[in-house]
Amino acid sequence: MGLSFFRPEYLWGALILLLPLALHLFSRRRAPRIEFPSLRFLHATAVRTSQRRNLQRVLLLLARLLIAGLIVALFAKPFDRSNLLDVIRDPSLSVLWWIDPTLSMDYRESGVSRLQRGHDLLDSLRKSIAPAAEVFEYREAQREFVAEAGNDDASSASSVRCGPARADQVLRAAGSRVRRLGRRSLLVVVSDFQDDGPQGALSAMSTWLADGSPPVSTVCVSVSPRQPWNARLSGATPSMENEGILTAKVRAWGRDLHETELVAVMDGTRVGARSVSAAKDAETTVRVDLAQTRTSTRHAGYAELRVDDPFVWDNTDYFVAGQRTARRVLIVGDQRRCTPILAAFGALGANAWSPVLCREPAAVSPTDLDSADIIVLNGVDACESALRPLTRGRSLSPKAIVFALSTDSTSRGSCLAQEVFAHLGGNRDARSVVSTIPRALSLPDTVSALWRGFPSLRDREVAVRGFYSRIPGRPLLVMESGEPFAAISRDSTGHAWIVLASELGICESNNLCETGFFVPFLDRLSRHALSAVRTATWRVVAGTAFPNPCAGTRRSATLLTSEGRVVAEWGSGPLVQIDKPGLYLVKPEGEADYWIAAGVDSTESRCVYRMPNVPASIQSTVRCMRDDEFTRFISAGGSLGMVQGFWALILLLLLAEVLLWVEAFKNVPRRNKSTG
Amino acid sequence: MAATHRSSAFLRPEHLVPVRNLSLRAKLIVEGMIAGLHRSPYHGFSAEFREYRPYLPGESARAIDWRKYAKCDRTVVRLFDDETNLYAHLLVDKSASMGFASKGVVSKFEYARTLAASLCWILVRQRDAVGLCAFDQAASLYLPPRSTNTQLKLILSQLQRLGPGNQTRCGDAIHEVARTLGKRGMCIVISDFLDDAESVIRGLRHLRFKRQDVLAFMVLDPAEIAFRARGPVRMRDMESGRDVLIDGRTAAHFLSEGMAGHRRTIENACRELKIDLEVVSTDEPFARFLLRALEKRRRMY
Repeated sequence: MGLSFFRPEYLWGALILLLPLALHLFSRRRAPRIEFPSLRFLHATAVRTSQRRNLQRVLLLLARLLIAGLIVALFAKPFDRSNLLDVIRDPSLSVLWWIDPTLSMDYRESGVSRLQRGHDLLDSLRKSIAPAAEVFEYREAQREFVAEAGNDDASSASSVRCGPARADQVLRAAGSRVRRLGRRSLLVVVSDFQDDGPQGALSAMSTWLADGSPPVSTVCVSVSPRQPWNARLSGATPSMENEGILTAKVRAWGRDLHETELVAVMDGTRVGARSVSAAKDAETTVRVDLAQTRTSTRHAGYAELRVDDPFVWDNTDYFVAGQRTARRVLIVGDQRRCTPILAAFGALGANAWSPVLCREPAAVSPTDLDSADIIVLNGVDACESALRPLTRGRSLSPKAIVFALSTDSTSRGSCLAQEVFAHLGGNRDARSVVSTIPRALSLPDTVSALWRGFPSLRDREVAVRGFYSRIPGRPLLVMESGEPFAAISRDSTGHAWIVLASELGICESNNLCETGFFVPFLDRLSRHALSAVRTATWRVVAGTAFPNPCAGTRRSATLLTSEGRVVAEWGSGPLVQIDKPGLYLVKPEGEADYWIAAGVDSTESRCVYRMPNVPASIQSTVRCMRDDEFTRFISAGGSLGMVQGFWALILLLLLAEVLLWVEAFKNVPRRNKSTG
Repeated sequence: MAATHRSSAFLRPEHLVPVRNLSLRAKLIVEGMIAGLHRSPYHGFSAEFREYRPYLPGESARAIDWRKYAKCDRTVVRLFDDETNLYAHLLVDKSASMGFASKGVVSKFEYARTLAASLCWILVRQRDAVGLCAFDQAASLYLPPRSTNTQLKLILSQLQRLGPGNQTRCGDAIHEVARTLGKRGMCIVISDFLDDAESVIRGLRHLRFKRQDVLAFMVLDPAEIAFRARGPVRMRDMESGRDVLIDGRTAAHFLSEGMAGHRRTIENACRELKIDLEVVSTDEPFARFLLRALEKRRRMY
């Protein structure tokens, strides 16, 4: 144990010990020689008593000196240099701190985010460390720990960012900083230690510690929520079709959901409510009786759980923030059957989709194809030559293509379908299936960028009787049977293909166009297809680098927000990054503009938190603790163990002093009053 | 008396004037040679009637009590007490411990020989015979009792020459003196009695056995009664020369307690032996003490 003091200047107070010592030494007279008539009454007991009293006097002096010394030492705030936590008191210490800035730190409890909690902890730490100690904070821009200039609140004002934590870079920077400093250092890592993948703080810290030889003493402070939780409502679309009963699934993560209100709303009117309880990490089905209204039974409403979302992020901008310029739409197919599609785009507004052209397959010209931003191929069977540029890699700017397969063809499938499947590298054996039992559609999730905030999808409203099985691409929408209804893929020329397993518009294979689901569905699919042009193979996640679409083209591109504010200029570098989620307009030089959507890594909403594993061999230099434990230590104002030890010693010495006094009192000769 | 005063530094007018009209009377019967103040065991011619006895033929008829003869028709003779003088021995302790004097007061030996000289003057003045015996380990000086002024001078000169001597063996010395005593008389022991209490009591008992009227004066210094010291002190025994380094308060405790116990033992023994014991502290003015002691004895007897 290495004893040191947080305020060593207070040790000058130990000079006060010289006072009692000097008093003792100066008052220590030489024993005067006294002649006495007879010492027959001073027998051995008296001599022993005298020797004991002398010893008691010395012990009393020692006890008092020790008590005074310990009190002075307490004022000087002692700490144990060998104790990791006590190191914080060391005036010659360098403190390096880093707060995990990832999105999961925006988790809110009682209105306070974990990031803010982390900053509060560090503010407390700044007040507790010695004034002479150096403090370094990690700066993302410089990828380096830099010295703090006083107690500025610049760091406190920082907010969360998307993307991985990049904790490995932080730890490498900490190692290099410590080597340059060449003095005792302490790394304080504040994070929620969410289990969010290999690039997260948890994984990086565990890997770092697994080596067994961290170059710096480390304190990992976990600010993870005590009871992390989240709740999800799925499949809840109020409708009067199902005998006025709403069936929904509620899943609760992290903790039990007690007596939470589920409300169903149709046409802005509350038509039903029920208290919902769900066990932790379990899904429960809830049935709500809906009140009869005058509203058309075909019109859908929505349902919601009245709980405060602890983890706030949404993609409202992704769909709500409109595009500045209308997109051109080309619908290819039978004009009569495509009438609902034409009407749907018209209903969505000329500001969004204009002009909307509808052509028979044989009448499509290359100019039509080239000028369109999005091409909807609806029920096209024949491999028309005019459509060859789409599948043969001809020089055509990348397009968003929605290909709705026709199930009215022979069992071998349509010619165009076979060609597109081959072009996309999909399964050539895809067959059209006619089901005697209508299949309903269900959203795969309600949190992804595509489906989050989707207005309505009534159960069993959509009935799909004929469809293609095993369509190529990543599924976006599935049927109840689990087979994909819509899938997205990207071909080698940059076209984004959204393949629908069944036809759009007027057809016998489904009733999509007859439902309220049709218009928003078409709108979302079209926008998603547009955003996926050129980015279909890589998913744009805010905060994460992705391949630069301008790389190798010797052209630059400008990235603008949906409001038209320039965000970045993309040069010819291999990787680019978008920091915030949302819809962005890319303006490449000499090419048509296109939209891309930056989403959020869904792992950020996982409510799984763990402490890093600390091998037993390094537990003396690495400590992991919760935020409240860290706060207790900081607010204690000194080393808990050592200060308590000092107090215990003082109490023991006081007890010893009292006992010595009692013993001395027993031995004090009473004044003999009988003077004869 | 004036000559006597001049010859001794111990007899001072301020001491003796208050007690000039007082006498030191023996409380017991003593055997003297001449008529004096004290009751004798023999029949004599004092005014104190003692008894009747039958007339014996051959006796002088003047001794017959004719009034008694008239009443009861018997010839009886009236007998009267004899009054005689006193044979007194002054036993003065001259051991080393008697030389102790705490600050501001005279030494115990000085006080003791002043007391001895004063008592000697009183006894000689009332025509009693006075002897002197000084002792430490043993009796080193003995002057047989006489009632002359020459004896007074002799005793005073001897007291003048005496000084504190060796280690005390008070009990043995008293014992030795008691063996030499024959007639009934008075023994005045002036000592600090700092010896083994049993030995001292044994000596005093021997004196009483010799039918002596014993008057004991225990002369103590105030420091012996209540010793006060703080801090370490190195104490030296004046008789044995033993050195003890000791805490002052502890020493005070043990010395005071020890002395008090010793005093109690001696006092209890004297009460049993019918010995008058006077404990005197040397810080008490001598004249006052002497007056107090004689007044007390006068009231008692």
